[in-house]
Amino acid sequence: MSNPTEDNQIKAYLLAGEDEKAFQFLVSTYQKKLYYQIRRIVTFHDDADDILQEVLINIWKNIKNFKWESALNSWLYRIATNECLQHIRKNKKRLNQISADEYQNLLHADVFFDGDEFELKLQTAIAQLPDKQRIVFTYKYFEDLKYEEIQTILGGSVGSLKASYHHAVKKIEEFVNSN
Amino acid sequence: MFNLENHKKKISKNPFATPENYFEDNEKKALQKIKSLPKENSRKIFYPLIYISGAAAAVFILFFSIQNTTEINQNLNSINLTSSDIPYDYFDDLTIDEVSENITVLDSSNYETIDYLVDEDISLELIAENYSL
Repeated sequence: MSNPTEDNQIKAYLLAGEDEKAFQFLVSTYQKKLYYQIRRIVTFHDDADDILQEVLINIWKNIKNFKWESALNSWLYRIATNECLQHIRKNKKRLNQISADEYQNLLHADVFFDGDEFELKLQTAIAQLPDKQRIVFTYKYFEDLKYEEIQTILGGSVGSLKASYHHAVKKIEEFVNSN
Repeated sequence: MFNLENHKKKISKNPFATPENYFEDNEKKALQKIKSLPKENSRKIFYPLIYISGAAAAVFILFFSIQNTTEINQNLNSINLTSSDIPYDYFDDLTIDEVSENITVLDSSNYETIDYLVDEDISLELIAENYSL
């Protein structure tokens, strides 16, 4: 996901004091990637939209403090992941009351979901995973990030991330096979 | 049997749709939002001003309170606390420690001052210990 040329351009704008230009360039470069990653975690467009807004505001407030010692994309993903986790925790009660069947029906009725039957099952299975497994799975499976990269976003050891991914894969396969 | 790794190779289409022009509109919305936020630079200028004004106000208050307390102490020293003319208005401006420091000639006949100290939660035992009752 890293875009070295674009990242350098953002850095150059910031160094020149052109903060708004830097932000605009960052948004146009990264917002789609952030949105789809958020969407993979929370599934529905309205939730992803709310989270993305918060993420962009947080980026704006903190971009000046970014040290450029690590990859910009890891920092952006970290902000997005934290916002997703906050959102999930805030809505835990509501989400826990929805069964897998109800979830699948909601997704099926969602005008912003274009997936086929299998995608429907896959996304429902992902939604049933515990928070950490869900996040590790989406980064690894869809974004193809290395465990070391996921580690810079989520923290923890590489071993525990591998275990989370392994458990997530097993649970998803079980869910899809039994449905 | 379904296997995720095999399926991964088949994923070609993104199942998530968005409203029309979502990303273009969102970019504009984000820019508008950040423009409505207080600017970091103006905050940077503003904060030292707050600190300077605060420090000046603190020095001003400290100066006048010291001057005021000195005046009160001088007045208290010149008052015979055994008399009935006890300056309660001055007491109100002082802490109980400052009152205690200034009352050195309290005796049992000075009921009003004793009442005042009791009202301020100073126990009778403490009053008796500290003053010549």
